[in-house]
Amino acid sequence: MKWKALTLSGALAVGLLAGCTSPDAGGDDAGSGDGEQIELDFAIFSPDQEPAIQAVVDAFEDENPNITVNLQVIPWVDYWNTLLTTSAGGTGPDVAWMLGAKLGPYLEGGALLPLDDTIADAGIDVAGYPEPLVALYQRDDVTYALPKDFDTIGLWYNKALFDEAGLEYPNPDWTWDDVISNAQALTDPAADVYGIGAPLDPQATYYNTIYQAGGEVISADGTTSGYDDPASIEGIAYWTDMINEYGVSPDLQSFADTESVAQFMSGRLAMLYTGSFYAVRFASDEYASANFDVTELPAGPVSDVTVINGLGNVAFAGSEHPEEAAQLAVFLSSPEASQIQSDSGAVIGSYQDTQQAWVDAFPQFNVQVFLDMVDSSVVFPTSNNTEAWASRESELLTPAWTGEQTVEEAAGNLADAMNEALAAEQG
Amino acid sequence: MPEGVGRGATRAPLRVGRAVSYVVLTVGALLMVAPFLWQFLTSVKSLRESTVAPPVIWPSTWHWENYARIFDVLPVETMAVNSVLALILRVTGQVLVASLAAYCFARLRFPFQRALLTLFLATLMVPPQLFIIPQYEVIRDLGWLNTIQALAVPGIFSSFGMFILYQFMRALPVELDEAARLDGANPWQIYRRVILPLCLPALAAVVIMTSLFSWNDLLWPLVINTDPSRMTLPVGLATLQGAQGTDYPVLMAGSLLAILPMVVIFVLLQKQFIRGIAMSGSK
Amino acid sequence: MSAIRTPGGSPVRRRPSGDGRWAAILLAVPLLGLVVFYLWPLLRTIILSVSTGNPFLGYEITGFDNWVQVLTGDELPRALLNTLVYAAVVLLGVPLAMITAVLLHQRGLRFRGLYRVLYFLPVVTMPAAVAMVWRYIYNGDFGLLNEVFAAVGLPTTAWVADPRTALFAVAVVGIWMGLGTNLIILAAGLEAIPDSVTEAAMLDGAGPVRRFASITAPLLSPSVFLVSVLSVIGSLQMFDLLFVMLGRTNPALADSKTIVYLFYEEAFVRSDRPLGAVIAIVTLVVTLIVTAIQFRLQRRWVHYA
Repeated sequence: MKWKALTLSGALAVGLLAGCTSPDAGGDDAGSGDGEQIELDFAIFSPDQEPAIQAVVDAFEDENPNITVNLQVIPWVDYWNTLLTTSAGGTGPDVAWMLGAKLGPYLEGGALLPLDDTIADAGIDVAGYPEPLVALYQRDDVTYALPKDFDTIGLWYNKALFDEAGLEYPNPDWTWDDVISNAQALTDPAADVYGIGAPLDPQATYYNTIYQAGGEVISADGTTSGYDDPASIEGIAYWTDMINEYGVSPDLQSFADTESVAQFMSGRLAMLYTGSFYAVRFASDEYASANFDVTELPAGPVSDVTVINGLGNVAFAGSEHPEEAAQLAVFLSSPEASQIQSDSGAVIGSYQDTQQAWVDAFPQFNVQVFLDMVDSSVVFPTSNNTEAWASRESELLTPAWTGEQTVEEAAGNLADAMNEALAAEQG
Repeated sequence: MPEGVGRGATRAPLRVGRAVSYVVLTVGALLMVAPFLWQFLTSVKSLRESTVAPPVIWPSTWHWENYARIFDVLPVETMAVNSVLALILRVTGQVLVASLAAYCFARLRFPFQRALLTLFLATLMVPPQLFIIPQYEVIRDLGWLNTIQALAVPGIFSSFGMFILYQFMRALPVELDEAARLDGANPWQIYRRVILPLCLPALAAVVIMTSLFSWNDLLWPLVINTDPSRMTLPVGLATLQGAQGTDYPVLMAGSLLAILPMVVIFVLLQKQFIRGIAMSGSK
Repeated sequence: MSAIRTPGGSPVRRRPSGDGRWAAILLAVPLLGLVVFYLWPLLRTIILSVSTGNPFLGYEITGFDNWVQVLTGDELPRALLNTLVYAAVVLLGVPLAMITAVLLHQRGLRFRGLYRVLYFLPVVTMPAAVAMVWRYIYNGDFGLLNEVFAAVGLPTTAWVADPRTALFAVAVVGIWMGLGTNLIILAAGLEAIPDSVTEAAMLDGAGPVRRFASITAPLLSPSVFLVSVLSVIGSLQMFDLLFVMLGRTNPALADSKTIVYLFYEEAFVRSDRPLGAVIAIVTLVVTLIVTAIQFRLQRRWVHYA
């Protein structure tokens, strides 16, 4: 009878269950060395970087034979949700990748280990990292992570489309006006070609130009929004004008359908502000590899700064082995780890003089500019609870992109919502 | 069903109607299947062809190796074993729990019956995302994180199966219980020997739907199982979606492979499935 | 089928009363699961909704500020409206499923099993993968749908990025994914109608349309009711499709966000669990109310033979 088969499979399943032990039981095994064997869980979200990170982990295990590291790749779509839930529940990883913008609740909850002593013990000179990125992971002079890598934004362009239009390639002396005038010359509606892409993307587009115009996203003390600053509005209008005033970029709907990078790679856009992190993808694509190149960001009214961002490695205070977890977190961002990552070509290692291998990995692009721009970079803006306002940016700025509201109106609404969220932070 | 019963003078219009039916059904079926054809075509494209705009419909070269690459980038065997174990446990548990509850509500009479029934059915209305954090905390406190049983509960206690079985059981004639009781059987024996064997079609429906829920579950396994050796198929596939770019051909190949077992289960059980729902639906 | 009717009205009427002890034994495990995995989380959610704090430090009951914030904000009413519109559009899938079920039910039809499998395929699928495919189809610049519409002179747009169409475009996918389940339940309902009834009508000279209107439809109404209730409950829980098909920076997002999406944003993106808890409870209450309304209305149109 079918029913019998069902009960049988049930018994089978129960039998299997009996064989399943509870998690994290590995801590007591006697190790090969003299001390006890320790297991640490380390969570990341990028399958692309997994080989390089595994190499760093291997190097760590070689130096610390009594420690075994379990590398866990959590899907990007649910990484932050899973990390917050499990670490707040006391069952999260010992060490994990962190972004400055996500740091807030963890710091507020005292969930992270201070790393300063471990950094000093490891003999790492913190001056070797881009200064703004180090500050990104510090609160009240306590360091909770060191940057493991960084990315800056450059002006990528399609040489083939510039050649066709008979224009000279962009150079580091360009200003905003050069971008607009060239984009106009490059735009060819009949061929479905646009001069530039103007997606609503904070890190790649409007954060950079807000600072280049002399504005700010958030005040230096992190208590008020800078969106209603006329300079910030100018920095946003640079992009919305490309769509609504000059018609040199596809509209926001188009970018929602097909992400700007995909449009750029298909030859539909002649220029795109985007990050060093796409070098790998462009290099592995035949068309992009042959036709793309990159230069420094064009200068705005005040400056030509770029936004810099980078992942950090944090250790959790709830770890059963806090000392070793801190060691691992620091090692993962160490000069040695930086070198291994640069060698892999996947990301720019964060430590000075370890980045040449990354530049060499892309002889077809002038990616040196991403390193050169570090000196004139501003750090990705954050507050104690960044997501409380950052998660409203795209919704409230959308009307400016679609032309339903002026940039003043949209930015004003965003400033109001942001100030409300910041006030709640303080309260 | 034999053809020609009750057909008389209406033969000609029937034939026209039949032709129209085939056309409508076939067009509808094509619409239902078209996205899968697209998925299949994408699964044999190169990465560039899969993301290029405008899209390429027919792959220029067929990259069958995308199917092999799944096995390189993901521990498919482990994932499949975990998915199957979780499915077996969840289906078995759900069938047991649901049939017991359904039996009580459909065939017994006891205090607070109506209130309890309403309570059980009300849980059907809970979107799975809503209780994920408190449910996670329960699993953690049980010490079940990173185990197969954690994957199966709370799905085992879903009221879905009870709902189907309850409808089915209350349509069975009262005389069954009465006769058994006169023979001296107690409610447990009636449940085991009389009622349950009659519920096979409805059980098939519960098995199919629960299998589907279990097989495709994503959010829950992610939160309770972070150990890579406990990863299920949908979680593994989700890791292919990166922050900067997704390998769509491999993702499509993987998800096509992943749905195959469910299609087979449906094909095998579909007659039972329909009969089960028909009999529970006939009041 | 009378979905949730009182046991008093059930066919089992003449039993000796007093199964209390047996019910207690047999219901023990199901009840334990219900309490542990549903009622306890519900209680926790209710407490959380009147608390403030941090996921790491814990939460303290502080009063109804969260409720005031959510109920006076502009996001919830909009999300509620979006959700109800979505549910209403997906409900159009029920008549579609009915037509398909009736066509499939014709006696002597060939390939019935094959058709059923094909129509059921979308139910089996993983939403994330198929939603990607639909994004291609809906693409405003070079999507398949626009090509077809342009060819026959219909208007074109960026279907999932245009605030006027995005919710409806997603609803079409919702209908597509739900058709299989609806079809199976309705097919089962049709199978349960005795042949003798339709044959008798045929002998009386009733044509196919009249047969459907006066015999099949009323006898099928319990199944239609079940399908409608399940469809609406499913729609009120919609999240995955929207999440995958629209993405985070979509100009249509504000006009398409559903309540569960709002919950996700609050609880998981902004990590504000108390606000998420408020939205969770609102979602449950709305689902209960909508379902109760459906049960009220069923008296008007559902015929239990």
